[in-house]
Amino acid sequence: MPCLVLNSILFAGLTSIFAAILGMIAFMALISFPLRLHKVAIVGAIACFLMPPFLHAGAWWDIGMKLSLPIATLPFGAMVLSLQLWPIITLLLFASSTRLDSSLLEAAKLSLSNRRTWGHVIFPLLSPALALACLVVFILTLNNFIVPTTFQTYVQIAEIYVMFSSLYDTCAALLQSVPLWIISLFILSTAAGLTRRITTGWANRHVARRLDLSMFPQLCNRPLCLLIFALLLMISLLPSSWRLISSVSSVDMLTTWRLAIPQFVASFIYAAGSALLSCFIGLILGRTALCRQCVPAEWILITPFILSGLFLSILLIALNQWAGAWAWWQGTWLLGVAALTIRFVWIPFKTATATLSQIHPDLLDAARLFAIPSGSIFRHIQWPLLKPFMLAAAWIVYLLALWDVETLLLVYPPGGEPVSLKIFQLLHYGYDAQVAVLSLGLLVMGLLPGGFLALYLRNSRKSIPLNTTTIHEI
Amino acid sequence: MIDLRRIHKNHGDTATLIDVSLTVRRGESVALLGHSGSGKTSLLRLVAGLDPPDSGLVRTEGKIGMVFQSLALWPHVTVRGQLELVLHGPRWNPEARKKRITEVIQIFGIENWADRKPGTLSGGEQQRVALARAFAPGPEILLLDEPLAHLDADDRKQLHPQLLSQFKDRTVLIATHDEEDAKVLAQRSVQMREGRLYTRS
Repeated sequence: MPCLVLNSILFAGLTSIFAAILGMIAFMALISFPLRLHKVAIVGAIACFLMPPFLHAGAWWDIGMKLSLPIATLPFGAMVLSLQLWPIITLLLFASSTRLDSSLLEAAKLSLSNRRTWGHVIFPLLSPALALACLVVFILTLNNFIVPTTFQTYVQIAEIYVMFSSLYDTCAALLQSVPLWIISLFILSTAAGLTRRITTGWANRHVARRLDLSMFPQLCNRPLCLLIFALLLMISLLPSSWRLISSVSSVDMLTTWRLAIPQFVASFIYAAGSALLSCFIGLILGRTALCRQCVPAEWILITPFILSGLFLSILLIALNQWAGAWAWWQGTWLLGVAALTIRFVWIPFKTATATLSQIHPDLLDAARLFAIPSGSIFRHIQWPLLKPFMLAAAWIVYLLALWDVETLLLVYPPGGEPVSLKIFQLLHYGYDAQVAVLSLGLLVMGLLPGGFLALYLRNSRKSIPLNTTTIHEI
Repeated sequence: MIDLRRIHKNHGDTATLIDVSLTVRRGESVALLGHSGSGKTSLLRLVAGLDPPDSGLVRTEGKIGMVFQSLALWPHVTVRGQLELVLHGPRWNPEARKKRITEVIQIFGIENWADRKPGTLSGGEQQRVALARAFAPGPEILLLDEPLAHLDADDRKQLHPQLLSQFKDRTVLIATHDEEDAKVLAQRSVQMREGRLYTRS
């Protein structure tokens, strides 16, 4: 067991280091772009992250085989996973950088060289965001089942699965989870300190003046930055895209999709159900926790998020066994939706608390002073400000639930197998073309609500001229 | 009326209000003069019931309206919407509400921006909207925290008579650092310094 835990830590650590290097390079390139290209670059980075992990891993397996690379090794697997996770680092750094106070950079610009500005001003200011992003990557990797399994790196999470699925030994499986639990809790306590320090708009209320992104000093010239970023996008996106295109032409896409309709329906029910439910619960808990200043609520809710989905499902099964005949939900879709909701409810909860705490207290005091009923305060004042953020949180939960294998692996009911699990099994038996086609279907299913959401937010931004941060600056 | 007796209020380790006693009679307008951090806003929030005192007694009679220093205009709601939101309850049937909104909009000269949102208005325009919102429900007590701070000298002069006409029969407490505003708008002034209240001659 210690060897497997060490493998897990090594795999997650190496992936985080690779992702941090790639993410920082991408961030420094991105910041040098002309402002109108920022959105395009961000969409590209998000696309890398959204590629189904099965497709990404499979495509790199093929490339490794063709080029005779050492594919069945831990560093190769870590490198492949980091090619999918670097956007987390880039996007968090970018979000954090846009919230910096412009006077900090203006002061540096007057007296420091570009290199010293980056080294002594920008990176120290962004270091909490960088560390937090690395921790997010570390946690996601620690709980990742697909990529290490594909590249034959035996990690603790795989051992837990084997222990449970072959021996049905709940206690042994839970015992095996303890080291991962301890690591996750350690990370949680570190992250709690970092989130307080991170200079995003959510945490930093007292930004005097927002930064003009063109103020960032460029370390190299713009065409070179464009080239670096484009190269990174190509390396991250091309293998899986190429595999998609080639697979689409080699199998009958429509037939494969038609045959998988029950799985697509199941995926949609799990993803949409857990997204709606987690947002509803997250909002209620978020409001209550904020009103009562209940700090432990966040700790309780983040625990299932950072723990492995497998661990959570084993716990749910153990709970069902204990409940016996009372557990009427056993063998229904409800168990899968509940498992995903418990796992991801922290995302909408955090979104709700962060957005609500950003609303200037005077806005609510004014409403209370005019004796507006609390229902109306929520409907007319809080909800319009929360809505875009909660919808975005719902979409993130929807996507995570759509890709999820670990949580549903043990709890899906007969006939309720989602596409992600079908893909996982097909990948295991080497049906690469079908895997690619189903992944494409899943990608479309994931992106469609995102597209609608983007359109909706664009329209609502027209009607709400101020974002929540500027509410403070009225 | 407003009656404050021996109020003490701390924020953390700092005392923001120390032994404050003040009575403002019905129909009287009083200005609280003082520098930033002297405790004017804390006192107004206490009278409004938004913060409780650590010790002492706060007694108010009548409905309270307030203009916040930050203005506290709801950013996603139009000017007309702000007024509609505060005019609720059985007293304000649709017809009465519509009539009152038209009246307030005219008084404060905000007809041209009635369907715009606060973010699209200038500081001075936002200030007028905040005043209109505070006056709209017809409160008996008015608390004005730096009510004219965002306006230029001409706008202030123009708004003074309109405000004074609305003060009639109302209990008004104005926090300001501008002696000129205090002189014009208030019948008497009191000075606030480091959380204590001093009577001015």
